[in-house]
Amino acid sequence: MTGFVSRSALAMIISVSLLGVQQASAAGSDEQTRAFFGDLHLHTAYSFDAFTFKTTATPDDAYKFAKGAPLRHPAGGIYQLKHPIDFLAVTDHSEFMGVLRAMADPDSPLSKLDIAKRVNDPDVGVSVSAFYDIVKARREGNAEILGDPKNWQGEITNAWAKMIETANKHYEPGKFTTFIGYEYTSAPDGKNLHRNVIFRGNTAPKPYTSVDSPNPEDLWSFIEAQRTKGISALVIPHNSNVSDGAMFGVNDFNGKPITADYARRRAFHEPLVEITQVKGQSETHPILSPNDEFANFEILEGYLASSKKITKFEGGYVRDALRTGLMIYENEGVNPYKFGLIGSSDSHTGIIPIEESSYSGKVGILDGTPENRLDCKFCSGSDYRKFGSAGLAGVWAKENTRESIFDALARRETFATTGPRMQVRLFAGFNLDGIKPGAKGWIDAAYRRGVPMGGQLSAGPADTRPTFLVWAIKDNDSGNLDRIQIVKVWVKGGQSFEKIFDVALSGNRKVDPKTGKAPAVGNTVDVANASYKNTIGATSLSAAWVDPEFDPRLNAAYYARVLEIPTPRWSTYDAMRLHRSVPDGMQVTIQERAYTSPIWYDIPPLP
Amino acid sequence: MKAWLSQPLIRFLFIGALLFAVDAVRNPVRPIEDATIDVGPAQIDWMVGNWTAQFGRTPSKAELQTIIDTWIVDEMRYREALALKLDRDDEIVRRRLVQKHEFLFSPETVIKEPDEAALRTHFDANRDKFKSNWAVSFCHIYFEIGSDRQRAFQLAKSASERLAHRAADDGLVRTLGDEFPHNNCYKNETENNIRRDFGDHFTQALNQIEIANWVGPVESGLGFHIVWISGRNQPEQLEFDVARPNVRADWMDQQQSAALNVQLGRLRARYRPTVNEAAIMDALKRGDELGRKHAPDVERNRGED
Repeated sequence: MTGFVSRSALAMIISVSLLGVQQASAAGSDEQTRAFFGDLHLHTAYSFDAFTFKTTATPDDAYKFAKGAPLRHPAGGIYQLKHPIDFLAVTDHSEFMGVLRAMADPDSPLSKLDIAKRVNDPDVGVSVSAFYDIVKARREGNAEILGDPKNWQGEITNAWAKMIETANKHYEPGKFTTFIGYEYTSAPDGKNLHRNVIFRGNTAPKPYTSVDSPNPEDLWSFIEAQRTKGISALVIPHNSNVSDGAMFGVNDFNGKPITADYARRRAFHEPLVEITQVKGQSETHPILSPNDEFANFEILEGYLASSKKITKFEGGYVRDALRTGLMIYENEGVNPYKFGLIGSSDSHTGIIPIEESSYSGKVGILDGTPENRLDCKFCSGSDYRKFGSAGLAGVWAKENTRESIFDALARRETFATTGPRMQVRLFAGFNLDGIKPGAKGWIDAAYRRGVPMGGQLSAGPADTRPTFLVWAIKDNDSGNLDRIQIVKVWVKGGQSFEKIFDVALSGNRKVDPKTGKAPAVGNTVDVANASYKNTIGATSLSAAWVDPEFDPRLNAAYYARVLEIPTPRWSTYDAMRLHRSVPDGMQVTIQERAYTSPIWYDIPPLP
Repeated sequence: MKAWLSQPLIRFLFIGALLFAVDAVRNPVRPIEDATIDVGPAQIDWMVGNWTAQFGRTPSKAELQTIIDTWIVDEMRYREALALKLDRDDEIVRRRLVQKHEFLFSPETVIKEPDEAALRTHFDANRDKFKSNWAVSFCHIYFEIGSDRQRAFQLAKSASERLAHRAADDGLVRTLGDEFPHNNCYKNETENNIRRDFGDHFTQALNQIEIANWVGPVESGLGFHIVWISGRNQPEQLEFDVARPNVRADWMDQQQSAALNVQLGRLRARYRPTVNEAAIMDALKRGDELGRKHAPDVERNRGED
């Protein structure tokens, strides 16, 4: 397992660009890695938008919630995770962090501002309009609406100190891991380029904001400067689906074609992408993947907090980005989009709404009750009926500690789920014959002789094809598994392609060689009662799959996608609670899923 | 009678008197303790500042006069509303005032870093809290549920009967059950890890069933299991140095809740709440009836309703 190419390539990048040491030590085989589940994207009342949604939960409340404590929702009701999660980063917006909340503090000079009256208006419509005015003022580079800069900047300093203190306080090595983090909220022309910054250690500099610069390259420079002080951080983009093609384009922020240097910096600072969260999935869109029968899942097609529609899907989705990355690799010798995958929540209430059956929305009062959601009572911008329940980040690490989990994130040994805690392993290699996934000792053997998810295959012996070992087990409390698929993308003759292989199916189903498709798993959902039965599907699935179309001369990437059997969507539970039928246009059932980080097959560029 | 009632003037006077009476009831004239409304320099500066922030220039005299007039009208309405107790039973006003009170009086300050002595004292006083994780070593035989739950249960049950009083490594063990996707044996496994792979019910069962015997079927989210527990480590007292991060976190938490409790204690000393117990029982009963009727099998967390 040790010494696969991606790490030596990383080492080269580090020495060439003097970026310092990105922690990426590999998981050895002395002790097995385990799946840990967490959320690396959660907001509290410290976020300037969340406070106007009437969220009062603090970072302290959020960490307690993740550890299993109950938490009050701003729209009423008390929520509690059935199972605590293993790690959490509270990532409040760096822009005006804590500032709007301070407007409710009668002792703060910020509470005397005119805008404070609207921020604190009991009517959520009024408070949110105040938030929009602050966003607008910020976009126009005018912060006069917030009065004396000394006051609000001082408040950011206070809030950040509190964020750090709270994350450190709740860290319980071996049991519950916290990360210091924040969200950098750049969205030029409304195109979402938001990124979360996650720190490895117990301290971090005052956050960089999109007011400082909307160009993510400047964020990387800021982080590089901190590296000399021994501070390591990862940058994780999210919601490329609502970037209108801007997140994973062929050009940089300024519209210039991506260079090798840009690609190197991006791949180094951004080793992960958040592929699924409340604001939809960013794997692929039916227009980009017309042959993918499962692509039409939790699609969000509108600009953030706006009724403007997304029109450009290329550059907005992960699978497309993996293809683009391979094309740039062929031209520039470096792949900017060599990232692993995680899911998270992006909830703005401190509550992590991972379960469809207890979905509590994302934006406080606005979508905090079944009526508000189904009737779209506050849908002035986003359509909250199109939001999905939250995702989770799965990490293969040895211990539940900051070091172990951060390093697994950095080496991309991660997977994303749309909420359920299903576990999925993926290994690839040219010498994996005889290893049967699930059999005794297979994990050690696979680490020794192959590379895990997030890794890279170097060329194999002549006339051999790579084997992919894939294994998945259901979440104890969720639906059974329908199938495991391998998604392959590759480049040939200057064009990129994608194809999906069903490699493991529950029951006795077979892929029809004529259509290349497998029969559907079936559906046990009782819509009126919003329930389902685990009488179809499998508790676990596995396969040792050899790519039948492998061509050693073509660059390619592979990731696994695991589907659950159909279960009720949150809106189906809401409809049941309100004694209504599911509104037209909303999917009644969904197939929850997991996506692994890809494994790349790269041909070394010619010298 | 009918005739004079039809006279327009009489009718006019009658209706006028009626309106006057209604108005007198609706708007009784109350004495006002302090009728002055003082618009002083601080108030005016604040108004000018807000205007400037919004429009990028200072207001003209006429504009300022309008702002002041509007403010005075609002102030009069505000005082009248308070006098009429319109702030009572208004959930919105209530929430806002609660929030103000919380900001002003709750102890949400950054708590100072504890020194070594404080940590030691806290550790000594709370030794029970700082223990190693509960851990268990066990092997199990797995029966996948598949499409026939009853059949899987029967298979597991008969396997359990056949294995009763046999050794952990009895030859029979290998011939029973289905292949399990995780491991068949675990050594010194922690509660969190078992829960992640096997779920709540199984984890709790492991902490209760007898040691050194094949026991089952025990159900998990994956199927049925026959379990042999070879050892169960009860949590043990941790050394101070090992427990230090947890001691610190617990100390901080305790400081915060202690400060909060002091505040709540002072409040509680000032009030005597009474709660109608019968109404609680009634409400719960109604909820249960609804819940029984509507809760689906898979619903777990409490939702909105």
